[in-house]
Amino acid sequence: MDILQLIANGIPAGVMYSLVALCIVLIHNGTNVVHFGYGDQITFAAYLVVIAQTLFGAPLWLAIASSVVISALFGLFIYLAILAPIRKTPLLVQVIATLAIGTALREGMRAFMGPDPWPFPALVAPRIFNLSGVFITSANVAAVAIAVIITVALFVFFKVSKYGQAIIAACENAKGASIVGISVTKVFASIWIVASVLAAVSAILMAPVVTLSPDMGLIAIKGFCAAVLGGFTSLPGAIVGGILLGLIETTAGYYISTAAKDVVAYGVLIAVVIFMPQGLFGKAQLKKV
Amino acid sequence: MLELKNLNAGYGAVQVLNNVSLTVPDRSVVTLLGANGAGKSTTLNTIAGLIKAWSGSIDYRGKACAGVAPHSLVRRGIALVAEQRELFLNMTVIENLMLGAFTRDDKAEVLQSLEQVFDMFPRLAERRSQNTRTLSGGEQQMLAIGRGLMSRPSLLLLDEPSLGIAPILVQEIFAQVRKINQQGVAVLVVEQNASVAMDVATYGYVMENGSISIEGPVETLKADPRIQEAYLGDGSH
Amino acid sequence: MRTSTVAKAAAFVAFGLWGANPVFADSTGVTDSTIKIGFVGSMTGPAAIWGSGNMAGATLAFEELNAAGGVNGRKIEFITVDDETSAPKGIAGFNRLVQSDKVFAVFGPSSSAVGVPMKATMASSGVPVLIPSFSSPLMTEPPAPNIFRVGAINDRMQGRGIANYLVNTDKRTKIAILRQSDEYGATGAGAVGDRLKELKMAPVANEVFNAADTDFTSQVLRVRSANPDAIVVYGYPAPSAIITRQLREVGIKAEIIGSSATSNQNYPELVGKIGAGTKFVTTLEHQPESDFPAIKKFREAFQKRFPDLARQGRPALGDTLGYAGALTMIEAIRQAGKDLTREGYVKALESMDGYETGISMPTHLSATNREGNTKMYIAVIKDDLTREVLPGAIETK
Repeated sequence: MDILQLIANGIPAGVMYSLVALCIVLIHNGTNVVHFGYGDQITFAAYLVVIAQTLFGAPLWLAIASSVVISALFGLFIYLAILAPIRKTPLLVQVIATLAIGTALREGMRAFMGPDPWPFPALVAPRIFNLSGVFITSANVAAVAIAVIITVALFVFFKVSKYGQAIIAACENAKGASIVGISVTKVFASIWIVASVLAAVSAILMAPVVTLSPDMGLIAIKGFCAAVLGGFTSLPGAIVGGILLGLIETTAGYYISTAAKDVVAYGVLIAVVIFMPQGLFGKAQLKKV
Repeated sequence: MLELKNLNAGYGAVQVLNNVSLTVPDRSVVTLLGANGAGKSTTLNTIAGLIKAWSGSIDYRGKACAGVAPHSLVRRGIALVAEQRELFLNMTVIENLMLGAFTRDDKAEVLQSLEQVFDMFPRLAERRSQNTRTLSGGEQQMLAIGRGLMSRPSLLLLDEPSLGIAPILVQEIFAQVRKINQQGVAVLVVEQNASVAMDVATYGYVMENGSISIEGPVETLKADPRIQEAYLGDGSH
Repeated sequence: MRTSTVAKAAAFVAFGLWGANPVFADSTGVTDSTIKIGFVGSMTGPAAIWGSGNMAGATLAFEELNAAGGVNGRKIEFITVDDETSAPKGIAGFNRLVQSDKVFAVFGPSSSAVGVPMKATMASSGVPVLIPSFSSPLMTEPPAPNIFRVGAINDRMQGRGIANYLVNTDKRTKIAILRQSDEYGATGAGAVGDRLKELKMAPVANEVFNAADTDFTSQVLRVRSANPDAIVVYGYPAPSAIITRQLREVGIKAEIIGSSATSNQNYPELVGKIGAGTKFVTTLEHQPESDFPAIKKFREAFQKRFPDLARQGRPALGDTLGYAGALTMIEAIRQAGKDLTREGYVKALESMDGYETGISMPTHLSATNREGNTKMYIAVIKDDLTREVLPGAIETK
């Protein structure tokens, strides 16, 4: 039953896109900026693990912990030192700034860690489970499990906690948030921190599966597509968009032809953009003028 | 007491406020009247910290407020109910109200305040789980006021609460403003609808082209022929 | 300018002969004590896998030469340009080396994606170009009088070699092909298919993948449906590593063989234990990590000169080919003698028939052949993730 195998592999592949899409949407909701350097931030976080291990001899847990912390600080730095000072400039300037951040990270890692792919430690011992002919790897199980945990945690945080609600509120209406006592600057800084911590988590899930190289961040292109599929404003939409994209890619490639895989996958994307400009989960943008 | 002295402010290079001085004593209701574009909203927004004062002073209860970020002013007891209401339209009524209490950590008392708001505006209680976008204009105004009250302010800045609302609801809202004041909250209300504002307020200021032109107790203002002609008259202005 | 470039390139193609170009008779870039050599290659961008190594290897070779007194009394002045893995920047960089820096000869470029679009510019310049690594056959087919390649094996030959090996040595009969969607994959995998046809065989599956993709389930399952006994994966290291893993993860036990792009020494670790038994094409009889004396000597010198790169696990393939290519260039300059001209240098290259650097494949060039190496080896990843080159060079005809 190849269809079951396609689903078993399509979902974890899509989950990788979902994680990227989630953070791109989060940052975009808060700051209106599409962060084109986000994929490279993931790559950077993955290299931090490798650097901690190979250069400083840190054990895996410490390497991961330091990657998460440094990545978070780096996100804060991006916001405070680069994007906050230019927040009043045209959006294009800010978007180009994110591109520049991405390029600097990518080429910086290429220069410092070399252009060749790096082996990345597996978080879970590599194992393959054979469920009556459908093969599932431990890495994929871990990726999906952690993605589910992150999604649930984010959902609870945003829906239930006061600070989560404050973030949602500030994203929707910054002025409204500030007059109820929410520091919008702190909210945006925390968005960058959350997104950067998730970049590190994604990196740890992704790198053993998709191979760490300076160009690993290219996966963000798929993340953007997933975000568009999901409507670009909705966090659940980003998750579903990513999984759908993963499933569309695997099944289209298998049932039609591998050469037509992208034609079909991007065809679906263009169709969504044309016929459902709000995406599958997007909300109508009714901003008061 | 809120005290503005010789306040100058504006947008970009355009000056709107010109040496504005006014006072709102604690527990009082003061109204700021004037035609559209006179600078009333700019005054409130400057007090709330949304617009930076160019010069002059804003003191609240003896502490300088000019240059303080809007979210910090909420902690000092100043709540703005903005002209555009600035609600979170994609969130529910109750979520909006709870965000109004963002600066408070006393969970039990927050829930008490919530019940008070619902008592004050029973329509909001009925629609508590509804998306804010689906509320009528009057209900949104009630929610904006309710959200402002959730921070338990000592000074409420009300910007044109009657704007775009059915007359019957205007009466209801102003009745509640009176009640709010009776609980000890000072109110500075900006209105184009002078008669309804002067029914609630004890002292009034009239603004023209960014400056205060007339001020006095409401009874005096009501008798002033200039005000009768310009702002009361047949209701058209 | 542009017209004349195209016209000259067209003339080369049309007549297919050379030797009469007057530009060759000059000694631009040569003084009594120095020779200016230009390098254009990818030091940043995706092709830096090869470009940064080509440059580092060549730098070491030239520095060693200069420290030993130079070649025929002249020291090498090495001028480098980064093409950023972009063909327009490669062309601009090449023109800069030739027109402003007035170099004697050029070393590079380092990838097909940049090199192929540069060919017309390089050919019309008449400046001798020595390519140390990449594998597009278009660089030597049709041959341009001033463009040579040494050390690497071109994709057409490599594809034929893979087919020969699988059919003749391993006796495979059901061969599946998985190839990268770009020109690199198309050329190499196309050559596998062509050679199979000559051997009266057809691939049981022929699937395409993108180099930047991260999941290859659809390709892998289509291959599984075809039930092959050998699978050729023709692509860059990152996608090839994922594909190799995914092939095994869905229970495919057939032999897997990768292109020379997967012959870097950290490739086995990229794939992991599951990749043990995977084979790959290599043009190095002795891998950069081996203790073969010449390799060991090179490795130690390299790591001493470039401690930062040593930290990255280098020298790797690109470094080795860069070093070997530069040695070949130096040898040709030496053969050209004291009165160094471009013509003399080209003649010296053409006269190479079996020149050995000790670390790369012997170079065989001639007046009509610009492809220095036509041989390859097959190596295998062992259970402990070390690599072993299987004895016997593979026929690529």
